[in-house]
Amino acid sequence: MRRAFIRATAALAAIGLTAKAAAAQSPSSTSGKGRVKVVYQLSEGIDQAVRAMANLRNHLNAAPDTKIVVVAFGYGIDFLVEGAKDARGNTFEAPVAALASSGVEFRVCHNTLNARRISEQNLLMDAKVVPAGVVEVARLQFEEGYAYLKP
Amino acid sequence: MADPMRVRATENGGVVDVKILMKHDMETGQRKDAAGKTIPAWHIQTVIATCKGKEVFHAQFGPAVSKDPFLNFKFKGGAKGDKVTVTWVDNRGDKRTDEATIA
Repeated sequence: MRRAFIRATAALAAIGLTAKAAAAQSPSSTSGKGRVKVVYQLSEGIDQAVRAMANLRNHLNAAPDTKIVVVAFGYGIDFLVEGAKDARGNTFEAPVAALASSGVEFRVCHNTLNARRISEQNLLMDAKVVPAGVVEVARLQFEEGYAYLKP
Repeated sequence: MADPMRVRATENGGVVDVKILMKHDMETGQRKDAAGKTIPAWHIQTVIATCKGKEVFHAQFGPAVSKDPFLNFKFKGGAKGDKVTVTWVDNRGDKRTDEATIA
């Protein structure tokens, strides 16, 4: 019993090690010095989205070369629905379009759309749908060497 | 090759609403790069939308149109399930065609 447990933990540790090695290798193998890649997780509604818009703008001002992907799920997709407004009554269309033009990608969780019965047609044009938000956040970090930020 | 456009078409009361988001740098030919050299003009010149083989929209774009242009127009005569096909051609002769099914 105990031996089985030890073997299991050893196996897990080995998986952890290979994972770390893979993550450490990917940035250098994709492009020499490696462009900084960041994934922003948005899952908390309009207030978080307003903060994120400012963060994203500042991020690109300070480091224009950064590749940024925004993954939205749960209440975090609210700002990407057409007609969404912040507390001051401004819509998100213009800031989202501006960020998209400077290379930011907006990915929306399909599970959330299903669960909240929001049609893909009601999303802003810049939003792209991915099968699952959490999977996307994990995949970007694990397989593509993205740094993680949650504003 | 040029990036794909996003095309969305919805029918409501006999009127089809088409939204198009094109991906294009739309260089005006007025800007200069870091070395002071002029960046040559490179922008979309014509946009054509067709539905069931009929032209429903035709536009001529110039350097004054913004980067990644967004276009929204309505037309009558389309039904749910029909396809709307959009094509742009830029001043270098590059082309991009995408389509959407009316929902």
